[in-house]
Amino acid sequence: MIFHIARREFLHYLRSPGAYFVGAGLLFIGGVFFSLVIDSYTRFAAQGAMYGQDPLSISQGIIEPLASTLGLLLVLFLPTLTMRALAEEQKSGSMALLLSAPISSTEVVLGKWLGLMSYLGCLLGLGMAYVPAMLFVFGDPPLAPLLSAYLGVALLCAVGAAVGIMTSSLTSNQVVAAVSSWTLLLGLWILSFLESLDGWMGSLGTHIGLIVHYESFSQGLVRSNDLAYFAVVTAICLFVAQQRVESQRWR
Amino acid sequence: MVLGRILGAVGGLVLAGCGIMGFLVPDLPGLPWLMVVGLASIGAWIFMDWEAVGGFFSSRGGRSQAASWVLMGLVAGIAGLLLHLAEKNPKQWDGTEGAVHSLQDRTVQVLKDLPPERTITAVGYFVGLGDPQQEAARRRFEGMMQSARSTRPNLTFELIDPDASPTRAMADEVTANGTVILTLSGSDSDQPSKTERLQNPDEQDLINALVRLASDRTRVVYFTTGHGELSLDDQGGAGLSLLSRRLAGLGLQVKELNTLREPTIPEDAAVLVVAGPRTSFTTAEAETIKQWVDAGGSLLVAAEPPRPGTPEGRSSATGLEAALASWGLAFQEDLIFDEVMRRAVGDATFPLCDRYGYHASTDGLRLPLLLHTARTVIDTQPDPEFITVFHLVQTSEAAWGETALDAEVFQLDENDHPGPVTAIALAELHEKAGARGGLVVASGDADWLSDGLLGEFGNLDFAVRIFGTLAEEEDLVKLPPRETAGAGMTLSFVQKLAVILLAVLMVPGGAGLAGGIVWAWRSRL
Repeated sequence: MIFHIARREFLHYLRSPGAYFVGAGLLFIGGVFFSLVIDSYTRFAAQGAMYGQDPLSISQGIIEPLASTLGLLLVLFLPTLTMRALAEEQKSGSMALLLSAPISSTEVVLGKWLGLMSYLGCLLGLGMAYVPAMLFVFGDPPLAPLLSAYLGVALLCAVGAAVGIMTSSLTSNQVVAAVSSWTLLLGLWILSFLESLDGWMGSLGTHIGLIVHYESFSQGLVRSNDLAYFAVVTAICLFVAQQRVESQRWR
Repeated sequence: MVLGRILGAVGGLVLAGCGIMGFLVPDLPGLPWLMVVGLASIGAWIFMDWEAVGGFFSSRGGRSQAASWVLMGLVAGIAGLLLHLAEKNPKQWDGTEGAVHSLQDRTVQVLKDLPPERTITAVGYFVGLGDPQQEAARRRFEGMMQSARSTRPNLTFELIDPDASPTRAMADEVTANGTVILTLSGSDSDQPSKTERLQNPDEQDLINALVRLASDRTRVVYFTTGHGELSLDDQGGAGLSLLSRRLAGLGLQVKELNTLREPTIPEDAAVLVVAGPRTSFTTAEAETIKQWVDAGGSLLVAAEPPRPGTPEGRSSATGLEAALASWGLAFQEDLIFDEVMRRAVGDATFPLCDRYGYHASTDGLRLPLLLHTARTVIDTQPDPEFITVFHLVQTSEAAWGETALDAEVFQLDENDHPGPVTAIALAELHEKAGARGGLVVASGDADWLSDGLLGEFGNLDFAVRIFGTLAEEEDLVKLPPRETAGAGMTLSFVQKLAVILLAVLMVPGGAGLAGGIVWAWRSRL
């Protein structure tokens, strides 16, 4: 049943012009940043070659800055895709129909989340396929940092989608859901800046900050604590959404 | 009623905050009291609003909702615990070329070889946001510490912003950004902890500091006596008690040595210091010292210049001139005057030296060195096959070495040594038949080591560095360089343009076009 809901959700995104326009915006800004990264990389590489320096590695010169930028873009764009996930169902009244069907609230939430993840996978997998293609055509990129960066992007999408579904479950107003989602994701992002401070604020930034945990993936580093962070935040958000959907059965 | 609900909300928030902080900073002062306040607030709410609370729990929906909240609390607690455990025992997989984010095998081995009961504590002082270089250094240090912790769980590290915590930085006598204080605890209560200070350390610096700290070999710094040198016991401004304490903190024992009575340098001597002698060493003493240095010893000679206007007339000859000359160093018979300091503080005999020469011991030092009544040190151009001389500390161009000390007005003329002049130089004696070569530091001033000046500007940092260099052990780790450079990529102008067009126009344009088609299709339905 989860996959049935996920398929329905995925097809809904494919039939929604808004999802395409949001995707186009994300790909456009991502493309601009990619062009800037490529431009500065080739210029640095040319300067380095002139002074007889070792070539700037592709992972440090292209993959790392691109993955970092893409992370911020996802935080900014994801709420616009997730805001309708459950809020629309609540507003249109289709949630009551959904809950009256022999489907558990867990299946509803997981199905929505998987559908959204599938759409994001298609969007970034197809829309940014030119990045690895170009790297392999014109260079010889190391595979491990590339895979690590992809893993980081996938985990960030998982957290962003889960936060969006959670806020969308708490309100029937899509705008409120989107703004709440932005606030939470940007809040987690900004908390990372506390990392350099002393005491409990620094500790808060280190443990909860989104960049702190995301950055290592873009640097080609996979840490168990970062994996745990993304898994736990995703699970908590989906659990809260499930509890919220479940509570609607009581009313 | 309303007050009760407000109290309930505040209590809930306080308890949630305590739960989060309990995981992040378990030893936060006042945390138990905050929890009591939170529980009391919730208790007050239940008491004041009993009817509503009771009514809520008597309904089926209310009970389900309460159960849901309890369940969410439990899940949050379990999630926090999982995160806490993951942070405590992190494992990592480094996919970069040359594994640049991981410690090298030799480092991991050193960490594993340390007795398990000895804990390692590292405190790094790095400025916060705003300085990209320091930010990079901070990240490098943090990365190394995280990797080290995955090998050695009883390693703890802390990052302190000296601007945000000036009191802590002052207590640790930190005067430069990028200072790292590394402490290794003793095996038991009888064995004291040892501490070492490092400046912007890389992996090799850190691991060698640990090797030194873990070494049971006693390294002694001997200060010569019997020639009117600055005293270790003198608690006044002219004594060396502060330096002595700092050296003890580096794991070095400090002892006095009367070379007139002792015909040989003790075997445990790591460094021999001649700090401001007023009378000359005898030829026999000088020969003993020379033989010891030639055999691989480390010597610091800090000699005061001839001082005008002092009735007792401090001698400028140390008796070690011939030995120093054989190592390519010589003191000049002059007195350094600094015009900038004359204008700034009214005394030109306090040269402020802001030029550090290229050497591992001065790498990263930023604060200048403040001297008092210093003389110039010169390099006598020794054979570079056997000796390398480094000009470690130089004055600014506004300073000069005044040779006419009896003149009434001091000013730079053709007989003087124009600035920048070298105040401290180091001679590295090359290895002979596999044996370690000696090290000699000639300082044209001894006062900068004294209690009165050691805490000024960058004096302490430089002193720590120079003694660290002189007392360096032979069994230190030399890490191989990493193979960091991966294959590069070059693009012609046309290729770059094609990639940019694809990324900026074609792909987003295609997605937008698809959206337009879907929109048109849906409008027709």
